[in-house]
Amino acid sequence: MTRALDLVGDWFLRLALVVGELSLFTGQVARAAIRPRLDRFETWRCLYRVGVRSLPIVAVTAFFAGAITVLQVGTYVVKLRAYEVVGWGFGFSVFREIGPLLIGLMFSGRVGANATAELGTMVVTEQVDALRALAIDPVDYLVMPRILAMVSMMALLFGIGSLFALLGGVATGWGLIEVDPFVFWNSFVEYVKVDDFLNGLTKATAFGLLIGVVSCAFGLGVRGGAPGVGRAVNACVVASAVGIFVFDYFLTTLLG
Amino acid sequence: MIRLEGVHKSFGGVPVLTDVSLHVPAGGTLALIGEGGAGKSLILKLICGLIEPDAGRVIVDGVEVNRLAEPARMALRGRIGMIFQNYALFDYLSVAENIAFPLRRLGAAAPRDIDARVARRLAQVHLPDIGPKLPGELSGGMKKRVCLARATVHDPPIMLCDDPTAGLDPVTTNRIFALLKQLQAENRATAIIVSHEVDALRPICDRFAMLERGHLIFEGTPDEARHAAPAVRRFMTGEGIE
Repeated sequence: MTRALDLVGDWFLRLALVVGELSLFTGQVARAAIRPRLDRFETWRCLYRVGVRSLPIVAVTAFFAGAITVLQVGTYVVKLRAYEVVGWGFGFSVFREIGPLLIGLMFSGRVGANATAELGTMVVTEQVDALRALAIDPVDYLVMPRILAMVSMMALLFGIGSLFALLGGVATGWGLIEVDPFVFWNSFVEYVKVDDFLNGLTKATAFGLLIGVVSCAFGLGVRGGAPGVGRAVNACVVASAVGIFVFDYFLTTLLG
Repeated sequence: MIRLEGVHKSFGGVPVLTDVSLHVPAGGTLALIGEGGAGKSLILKLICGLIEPDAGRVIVDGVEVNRLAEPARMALRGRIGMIFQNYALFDYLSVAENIAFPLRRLGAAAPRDIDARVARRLAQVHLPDIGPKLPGELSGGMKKRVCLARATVHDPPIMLCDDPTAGLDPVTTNRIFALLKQLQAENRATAIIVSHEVDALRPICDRFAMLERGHLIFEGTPDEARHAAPAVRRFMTGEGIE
């Protein structure tokens, strides 16, 4: 019994430590954001790596997310012959929930884990110490460009991903459940509102911020050489995924 | 001028430095020697303000480093050139970009002069043609020299060198020490060099200090070391080693 309590207590202490470190780090980021001193070269490098290189995987994910949504909705559409609601069902669920959630999870696995591994390796090879020794604040030079890239590219990729999801939805509707693309499009245009897209865009941007802060905090917090980098990447992916669902819950409550 | 007064530092309850006091006058060169794990690299990081002491004072040019707020500490670091034991080159930047980095970020040179200064420093370290290469394409000796070029390209008045010749052949070792001496003399810099190469350090350092398990057991000239404790004499001259 005592041992079980010890374990629970230890788990809570470690959780409190992680939450505390994340809060302090978020404070540092907020302070740096007031007067950002971005390095142009590093910012462009991050934008390219985060945005351009993530595009193919986001496009494929979004295309199939759209296709799967239409397939799921399609069963009932065919049964009820309610072809005119398929575009609405697709748009509502992809824009508001499935799009930001899936792209966010994909983004955290690819971009967030990469940032943690890169920063963690810089910590264990003393490159971060070298930056500080050269009078350069790692938050200004390393963290801010990454967070900026993740926030802006997550929003942009959500927009592009939505187009691919639409393509996937239309193609699947036409090819598998015989929904005419014009019927799909009319239903989509008539029932899906700009608010639905903005709702998803807000979520995607918030997820980008979350992934940026979490991945950089875990990366710069690495201790203990190469195994430490592995542990940090693992912790970053788990924390980002959990954070995305928690954020999603609160944002859905807030935004409707 | 660099001064440490009664500095203590522990990690996880294990003392790494105990009551260490040191003094390096302006323009002086101190060799910091001792066995691995004695706390030599830690002293350099304390001077640079990368790590806080648990007790004691670290004073650089009359300013107590551990009492400085971060912006003032940053300004101080801009006047320090630090060579890291494991190179610490930015592996996503080319050699030329690595060396230009302090000039670009600290605004220590006009943008039009940066390329020329980088080329001059590369020529000084006898690596004139490797500017476009990435650090991953270089040998250990070349990386050390690039690290030396990056740490000194902005002509810092304080140089902290953490084992700048570790794992290098004797020819490259002598070449690096000669270069350090030249740069230190050119800038009239105050320097601390951590190394195990006692013979190579003798001609370039005014004074030696030796650490043993976190305690300073000797500070003086190489001549004074002859009359020091047996542990110092053993390390300095190899006498008594069977």
